[in-house]
Amino acid sequence: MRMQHLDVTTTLSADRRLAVVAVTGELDLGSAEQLWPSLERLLTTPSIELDAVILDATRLEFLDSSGLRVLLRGAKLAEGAGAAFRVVAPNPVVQRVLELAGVARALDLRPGLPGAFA
Amino acid sequence: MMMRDTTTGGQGADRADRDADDEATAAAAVPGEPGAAPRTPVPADQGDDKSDAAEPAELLPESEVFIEIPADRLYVVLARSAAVHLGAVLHLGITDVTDLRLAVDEACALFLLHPAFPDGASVGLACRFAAYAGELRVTVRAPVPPGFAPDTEAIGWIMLGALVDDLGWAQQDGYGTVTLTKRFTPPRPR
Repeated sequence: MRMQHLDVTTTLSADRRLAVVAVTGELDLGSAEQLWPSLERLLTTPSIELDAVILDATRLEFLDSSGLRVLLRGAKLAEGAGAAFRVVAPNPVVQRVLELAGVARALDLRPGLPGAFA
Repeated sequence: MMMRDTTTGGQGADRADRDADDEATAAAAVPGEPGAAPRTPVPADQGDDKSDAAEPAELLPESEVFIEIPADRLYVVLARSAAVHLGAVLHLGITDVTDLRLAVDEACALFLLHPAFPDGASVGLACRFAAYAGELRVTVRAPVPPGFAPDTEAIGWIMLGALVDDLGWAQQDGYGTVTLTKRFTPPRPR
């Protein structure tokens, strides 16, 4: 049995312009690569032309530099695809990592999901 | 997971020889009792009245915990959990505990994500948490190939430097060791 400590749920709007990727659990060196396929699929599928990807980390309990690297890769891929990439992270534990790494601005950090749609 | 009383002696010497099998193993010293420091184990036959000895001794921790995990990124959560529990036992504040948890995670990652770190179930990461008055010292130790060194330009190392008060790296006898020192205000006695 393989330990699973990260859940990734992707929701696409009806017009396929907005995607919300919700991550629950712990995004660490053991689970970071689990997130990447979802981001890559969203941002490289020709039939999906996104205006924005919202990474909803509201229920993320732990983030380390391995997880952060995947988020930064996602932001870079989004930029190349002409989509905004925003991270919703109200949890102080997650905010702490983003601040320590100095990437709060690069990841367009938002305190709550409603404010991330605009 | 295994608990062990270090007052039975010799645990400092046998750390390097302990088998790194697929089971995570741990040992904890009894707080307040003289657990052996890793490089200066107290021989069992010298445990009686030797307080006048002239030889300068390394300061012994008030308590210490060992946990050895397989060198597999899925097991790092065990080392993180140990850090959180120890932080609670030491009455650290929530910020210090979360910083400590992240620092231990990043210290393990320095080995596990390094391209030169050997693969294989026979390798383990030995984590030692030694609590002193007002200071917690954590070491993460593993066998490494010659020339192995952490990437000090990587974000993990830079974050580590911000999370702890002192950060060090040493390589000796085929083992690499990351040392983290976190200082804190000791709780007042009740």
